[in-house]
Amino acid sequence: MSGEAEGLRELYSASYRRLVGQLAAMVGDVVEAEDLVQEAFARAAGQWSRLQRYDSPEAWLRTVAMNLARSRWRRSRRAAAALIRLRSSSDHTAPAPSADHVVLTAALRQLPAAQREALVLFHIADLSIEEISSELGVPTGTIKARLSRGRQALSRLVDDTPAPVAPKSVGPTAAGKMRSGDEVSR
Amino acid sequence: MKPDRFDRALRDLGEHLSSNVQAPPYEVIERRRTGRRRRREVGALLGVVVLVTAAVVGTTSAISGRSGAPVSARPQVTVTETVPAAVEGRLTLRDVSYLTDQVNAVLGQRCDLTGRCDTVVLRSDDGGRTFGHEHVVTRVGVVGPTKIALGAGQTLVAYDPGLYLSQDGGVSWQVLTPPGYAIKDVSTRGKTFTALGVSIDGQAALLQVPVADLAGGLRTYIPVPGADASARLQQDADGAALVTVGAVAGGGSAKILVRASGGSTWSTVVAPAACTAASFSAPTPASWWLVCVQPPAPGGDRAKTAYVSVDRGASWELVTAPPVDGGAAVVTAVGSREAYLSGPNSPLYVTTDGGTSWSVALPRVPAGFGEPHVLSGRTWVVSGSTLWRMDPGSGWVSMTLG
Repeated sequence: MSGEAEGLRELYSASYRRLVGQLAAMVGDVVEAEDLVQEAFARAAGQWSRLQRYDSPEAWLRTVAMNLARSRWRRSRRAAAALIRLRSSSDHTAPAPSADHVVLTAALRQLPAAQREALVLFHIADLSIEEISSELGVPTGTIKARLSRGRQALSRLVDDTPAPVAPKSVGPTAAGKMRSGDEVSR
Repeated sequence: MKPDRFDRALRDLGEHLSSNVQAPPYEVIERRRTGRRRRREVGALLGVVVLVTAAVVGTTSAISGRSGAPVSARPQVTVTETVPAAVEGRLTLRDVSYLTDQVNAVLGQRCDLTGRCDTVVLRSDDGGRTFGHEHVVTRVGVVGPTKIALGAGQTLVAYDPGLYLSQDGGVSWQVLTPPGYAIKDVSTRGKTFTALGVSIDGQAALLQVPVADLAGGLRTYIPVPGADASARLQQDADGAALVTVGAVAGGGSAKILVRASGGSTWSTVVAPAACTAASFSAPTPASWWLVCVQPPAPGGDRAKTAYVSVDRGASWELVTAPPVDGGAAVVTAVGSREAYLSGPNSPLYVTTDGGTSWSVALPRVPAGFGEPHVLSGRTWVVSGSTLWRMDPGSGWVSMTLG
């Protein structure tokens, strides 16, 4: 195996799950996110000798996947998107999504794409405003504005969302938790 | 420092989404890259063919405005010629069924890049922990079946709207669809195989054959009076055929038609409310559940009411119904106390106290849930490409079937 291919394999092992999580938050569909990330890696494989010299090949992969997600071509053919998987089955314990996550995911999907991207890159991908600015190719002021508007919209959507369920076995809803959570710092 | 009320919630969401992902082998990427290159080559070739053809017949206007995009010619042969269908394309599961708590099978559709789909089946002999080879029931171009049932040995039956039989574990299939009929439900209980068919003129009938001679095709036709295309079939443990008719034109009540095993007449049990659709489940001869979708209210809402009967429909108790969205609801009862309820845009709800209260077994997912199947306390349900399983005393386990 060439050193080039080995480098991409290592990046794949290290970043696949992380990228899928970020893209899933953006597109609201884990399967679609896996498809996007796999496609980004497939494209990277064709130009790895160049990409490996980048400061952050992972950022390149994320950008490619996000561009794919934005593409009208992909959206219009989402139902028919191919997903190559050699695994015939993969048995693993997966906790069901909590009511919090259902509410938050639904709210994210209602945001304009630009605000959703900014929120996901800032909070989930943990990028700085400068890094987001560089990755998206827009001024830092624009990123700040998108974050501000995105948070306001998200706040409205979550607060307006009724409890999705009121089952005896499910804990507090996202709305309830977030109202009591207030400011969070790190 | 990122002071923000959503910071922790969003980070948790990202971690949750990542934690449920397993990176497939890297060979997936290499195969995808190879597939892209081949598709590009075939697309370019087709583009040349289209341009040459258009030039020959003088119809270049047919592709005007699409220059530089030869794939707009819709390369219908691309995918099937470049990669095996068995490993490419998204699998969408339609149904899961069981024979024992160890032997079960799932049926789904695997669609290629052009949206054409094969109907495929996978069988498990270890309670659904691993599945063997994928087998094709019907190829593209055929309206494939959407449901699966297992018989003794290696027998599999796929149905709705056609009827297909495999007696070698799904490797090979024969068509059993009676001419002029669509098959809505089947029952493999007892020594007689029974299917509910609806003829092209909308009349329902039970179609039967001894299980031992299933390959010979359905031979006995028993008309179901007053049943239409909405009819569904169940057989209880006593062998009685229970046919539910829910969508009553112009309103009215749903009804359940009952024909005892070996009997020659039908009796009718009228549902306790007006319904435009009804879902019925009879886990035991004495325990009946009925969920009724009522006509739309002025605001467009279609309320659901749930009823339980412990005397074969002589009396009904109105129980609580969870807030299932949409114009349909499916109830799958396990006994007089336990039942699942779901709709096309709703969580999967469960009650264990006879409908007094309901809880969310699985939160709503975009793909929706199929009909749950329960055996020996173990529950299976499909959703998109995921098969969910819950064993007694434990939580849900998801399995992604590629």
